[in-house]
Amino acid sequence: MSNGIAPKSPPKGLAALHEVELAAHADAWLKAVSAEARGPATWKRRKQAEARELLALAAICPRLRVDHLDLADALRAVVFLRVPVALRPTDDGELPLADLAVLGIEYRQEFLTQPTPGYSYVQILAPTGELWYPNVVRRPPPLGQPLCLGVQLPAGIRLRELIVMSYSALTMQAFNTRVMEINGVFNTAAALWWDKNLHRVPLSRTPILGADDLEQKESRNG
Amino acid sequence: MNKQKLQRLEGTLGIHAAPEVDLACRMPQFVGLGEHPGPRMRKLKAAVVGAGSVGARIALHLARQQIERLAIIDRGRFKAESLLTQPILPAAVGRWKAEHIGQLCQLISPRTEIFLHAGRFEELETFALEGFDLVFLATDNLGVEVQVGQSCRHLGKPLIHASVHGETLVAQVRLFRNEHDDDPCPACAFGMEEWRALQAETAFRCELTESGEPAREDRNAPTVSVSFLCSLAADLAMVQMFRLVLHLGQPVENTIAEHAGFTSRTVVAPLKVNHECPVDHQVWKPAPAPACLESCSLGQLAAMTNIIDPAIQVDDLEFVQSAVCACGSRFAVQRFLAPGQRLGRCSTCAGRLQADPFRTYRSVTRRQAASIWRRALGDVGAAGVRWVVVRNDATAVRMGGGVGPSRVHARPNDANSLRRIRCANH
Repeated sequence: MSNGIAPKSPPKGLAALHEVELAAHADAWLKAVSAEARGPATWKRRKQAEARELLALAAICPRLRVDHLDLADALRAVVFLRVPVALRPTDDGELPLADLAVLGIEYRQEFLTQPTPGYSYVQILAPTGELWYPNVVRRPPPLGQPLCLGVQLPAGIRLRELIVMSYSALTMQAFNTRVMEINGVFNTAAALWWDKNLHRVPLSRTPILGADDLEQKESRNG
Repeated sequence: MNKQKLQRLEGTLGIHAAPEVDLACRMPQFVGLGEHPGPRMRKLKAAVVGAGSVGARIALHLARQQIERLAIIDRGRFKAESLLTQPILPAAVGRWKAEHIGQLCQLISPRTEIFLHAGRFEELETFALEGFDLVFLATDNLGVEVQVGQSCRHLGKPLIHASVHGETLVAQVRLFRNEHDDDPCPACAFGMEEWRALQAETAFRCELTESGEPAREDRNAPTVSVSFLCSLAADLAMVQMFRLVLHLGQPVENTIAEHAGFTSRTVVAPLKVNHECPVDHQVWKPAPAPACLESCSLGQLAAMTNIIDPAIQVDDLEFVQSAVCACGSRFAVQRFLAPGQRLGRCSTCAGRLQADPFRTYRSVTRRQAASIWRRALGDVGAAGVRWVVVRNDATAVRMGGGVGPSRVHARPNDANSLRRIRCANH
């Protein structure tokens, strides 16, 4: 999915995504979904700003593509993220890895003002097999599998932070070895397995804006 | 989460309730007021959120005014430490705060209808506070401040917020008018520290309870204060309420009154609105509802309100456009459903259908509900609909919703509900 463009971080980091210029088609898409946004003025503005930042992040991040965007009620987005995703190990101990996650994101108005469980924001729509993480709620398809990003996420957390946290969680770059002690886990078997297989952590060391792993795959694929 | 109604208190402890007394034999004729305040007070309906060291005193004060209706909402029980600041005796330790204070209020004023909720404020239905004229807020939980502020704003109810800062002997009362969209709300004054503190108040464990709700842990520390400061805050709140209801002295709407114990000074200042406040500031203006809401269509409701390009919220229901199944089949639903309501089985594989979360809406526009825009709500899953809100950026109108508190008898064997206790005089 790499688009051949070298990732460029805005000069002030991800906090300056508003300075990224959107391509014409992305801008037109943003205008179209913004016209459908509903709700009080503050909430509408927030949704529109978050949508713009999401498209800007996709513009500078070669591993990210936005597939669906809806601002009518809650902010809803479906994004494709090139990232190693651990699946349930085979009987002989091999850990299969998918290389793409489809994330379903829902950002409701109450998230601006109320404490919300860390699994309320992001669901993994694909792969649909059992994901092998302590902090993923196993649900059979067609529902997505919620990804818990922490016991306490700040009210009004930015969408770009959710994407970065999701990437960190799936690559296990943000992995706590004391998982069993901290506020419980959703997948106990996965937690115990990773406890014995810490040498496999993280699944990737490439930062979200990096493209080394993508270029390696492309050169392997010819 | 299933929303709950306020529960009517149906009995009192088996000790003697107060005899009937005339409010006029003690209530003064306030200067500048043409009539005696008693009759107006006796018609008042007030809700108190938080029955702790400040809120319990407010409730007791209200009972002594023999008001018509009083609701008390608190999720906690009295602990031994409560004796240090709260108006209780040792026998109350371990009891639900809302229940105990409610029973005391009933003894003081048998004529007052008392309603209780021993649980979280967010468990209550959207229109739980509809049957009240004003709301007192006396909690040390920032999340509840935001929720109550939001609810009162939507319903257009004045909100009187009493609080203390023990270390500086400060008692503070803020009065929010909630009449216009540009009136301030409690969260308008929140800075980064308050939002961080709000977030830190609650932690969610990575496990679900039996009801499927996330297991949560409340971490907000109890208010550290002295009992006389708490009673000062409660007393100040009552003064402000009297001035609001009886129009005494200068207007008190949208003001903060703060008494500093260290200097013995009281300062009054206006409250300012924050135009970047993330709380929804729209007042849902009441409009006459048709006799039977469920026989109306979304299109008719939109036309009745003259709101251009509206989004419509129907009771506590969600509009489900489509459902999906594990076999990959997708089915059109196009109906209103209660959150979590079952959808039946897939006609292809007989598996359970699930509402597509990306095609489920709390408020619907004409575009999303095009196929049912002209169909009666009762025919599209909203039979028995109690209220609707029709809104756009500029304005919001509500129809229905006058449900008020319910008269529900307590279940005798339910430890968390009220016990039916006979009053000695009845």
